[in-house]
Amino acid sequence: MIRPEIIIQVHQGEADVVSEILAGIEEEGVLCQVVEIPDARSVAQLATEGAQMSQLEVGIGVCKKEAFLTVAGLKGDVLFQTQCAYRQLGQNAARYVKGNRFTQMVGGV
Amino acid sequence: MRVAGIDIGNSTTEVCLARLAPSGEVVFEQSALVATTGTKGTIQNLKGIEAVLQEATQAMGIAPTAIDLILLNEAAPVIGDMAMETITQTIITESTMIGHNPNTPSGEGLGRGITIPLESLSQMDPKQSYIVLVASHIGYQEAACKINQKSDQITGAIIQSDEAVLIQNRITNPIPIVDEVKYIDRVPIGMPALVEVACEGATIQTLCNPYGIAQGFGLTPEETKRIIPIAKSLIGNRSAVVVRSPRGEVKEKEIPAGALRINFEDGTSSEVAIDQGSEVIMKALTRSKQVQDIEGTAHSNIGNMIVTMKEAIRQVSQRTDVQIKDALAVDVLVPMSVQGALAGEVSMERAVALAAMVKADALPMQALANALQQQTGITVEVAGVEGVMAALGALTTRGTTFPLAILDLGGGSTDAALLEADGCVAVTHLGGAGHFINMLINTELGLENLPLAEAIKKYPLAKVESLFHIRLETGEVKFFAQPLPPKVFGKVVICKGHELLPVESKHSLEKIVTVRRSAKEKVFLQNALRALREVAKDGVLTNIPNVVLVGGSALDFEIPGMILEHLAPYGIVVGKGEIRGTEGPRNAVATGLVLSKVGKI
Repeated sequence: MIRPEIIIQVHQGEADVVSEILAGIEEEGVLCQVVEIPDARSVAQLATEGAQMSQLEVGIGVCKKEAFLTVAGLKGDVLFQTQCAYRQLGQNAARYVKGNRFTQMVGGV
Repeated sequence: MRVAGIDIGNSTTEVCLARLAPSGEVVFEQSALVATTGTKGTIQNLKGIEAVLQEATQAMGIAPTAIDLILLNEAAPVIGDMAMETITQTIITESTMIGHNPNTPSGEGLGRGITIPLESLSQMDPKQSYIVLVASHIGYQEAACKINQKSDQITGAIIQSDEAVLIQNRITNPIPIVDEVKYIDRVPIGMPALVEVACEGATIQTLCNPYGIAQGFGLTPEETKRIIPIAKSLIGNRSAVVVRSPRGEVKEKEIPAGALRINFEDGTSSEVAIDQGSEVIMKALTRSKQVQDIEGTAHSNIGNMIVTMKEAIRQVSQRTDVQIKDALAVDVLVPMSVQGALAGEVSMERAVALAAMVKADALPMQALANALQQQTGITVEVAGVEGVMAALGALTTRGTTFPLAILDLGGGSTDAALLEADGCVAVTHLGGAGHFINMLINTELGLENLPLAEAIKKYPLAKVESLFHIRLETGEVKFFAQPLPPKVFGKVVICKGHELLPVESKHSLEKIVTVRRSAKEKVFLQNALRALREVAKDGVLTNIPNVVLVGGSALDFEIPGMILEHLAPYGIVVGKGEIRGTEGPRNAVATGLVLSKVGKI
């Protein structure tokens, strides 16, 4: 059985970026899985592939300091993108799953 | 001959253009509507009149000078205004409680202990239980690690940032944790405290029970009595904290609300205390006597409210004698932020809202007519009383007959007129209408945004359930090919045509719908019954066979239905007007003005 989880695809991501995203998702009580990707890819691609694999249709791409959130229906378009508000990005990924309103992204798109 | 009937209302100016033949034949040509400029019946209306004539003639491709005669209505000399005043207020002195609903508190059950900051855990007394305070500069990992070192003595936690679940997942002994406490620095230290978190989907059970708090703190019967406001204000929360500080308490202050003094035309008067509620006030007002004026006790809230209201009306109308001839009082529960709160708590305070109607001797319509004639070069006549004209216009609704009552559901006032076959007319004007509903919705939901409140009144609601679909308040689901903007995701939205306006509040869709419907019922249902009783023969509703609803608020998607449901048992046919079969409930007075001239040229 496939677990309902948010897929986070990471390529050369900084450790604290990933841990902050995970904290945001955990606080909201949603499941997630981190996948390390060795080949170079854009954050958008990483997130889009994640969304396609995720049973929750939510994917996050992380590359160095950049984090990108998308969902399957958006076909690769950004839902949120940030270089600092990682916790909120994680929270918003989880809130998308729960259907709750998003939290304000400080310094994100 | 081409005539223009013009109706100047509180909020809109409407025109009806028609050609009249001497034979009595009438051909309606065009109608238009603009916002009224200035207070109705004043010279400032000229601008709006010109604009509406321009609009109507332009649509027909003729010049305004092609009009031979302009008919103005003898506008009812009534002006409405409204005000609201809270009569209770909750104040926390010293900090004694936190009652709020963070999105994600954690743990379950009740924790009891002495409050202590995380930094001072080393100074713990080994025989004591503690409630730990975690400020936002401390990360969840560090906090969890420190709590674990003393886990057998820590029974609960209060966290400033949104990290309750994160900390819970990292500690060995699960404890109730309340997070998002904004002003954690105001929580007194070294005091006994109780922390309660309910499981998902439930609300707290102990801290909203006076005996529960008494048990937790070992209170005497006398002290238990004093903590009632605390227990009361915590009802319905998923998490709460109560701290026992020596001087601190939560007070529910009754603001001296004062009384309303109603003077009747026959010299008698009656006095009603405001805190008795709207029902008693309305009973005193509907004792089938003409009201001469309404006053409030000097220096009380209601007194100040009425003085301010009269002053405002005096200024816009430039009249010296302002007397309130009718008032509609409504009880409201208003969410107000609690003074001295620790987490932005709100408490529902009781308030009374009052819509008043002021009648003057007569509006200077003739002066307005003269000015208009001078400006346009077209003959202008003041042709008829508003209520009669509205009834005449309403008669063009198919299926109506004499005696016909109209209910004009406007913005500023609710008016009724009853027209008998022999031309006899009874007219009444009551305070409280569309604008009053906006105010009620605005305050009961704590929006502080009147345009948003008006939008809530006018349009149905929906919940955005995903980026691609919304669920309407009727339960239907609507899908979108393009993703919706993230700013509306998960929110309650107003469906204004194709536009979705987010409602920025924590209220559920059901709550907003309830407030919207109850505001409409409180104002228009009550006023419809009051107005019709006043114009009905012998005050008996069953003497009215049919009622036509006209005016802007008759366009509302649910008000006509509410009134029909209520009047149907009396055997009254009631419905939205279909003026001339084309105008809906609009344009009744303007049409009536034109019709009043049929066969008279």
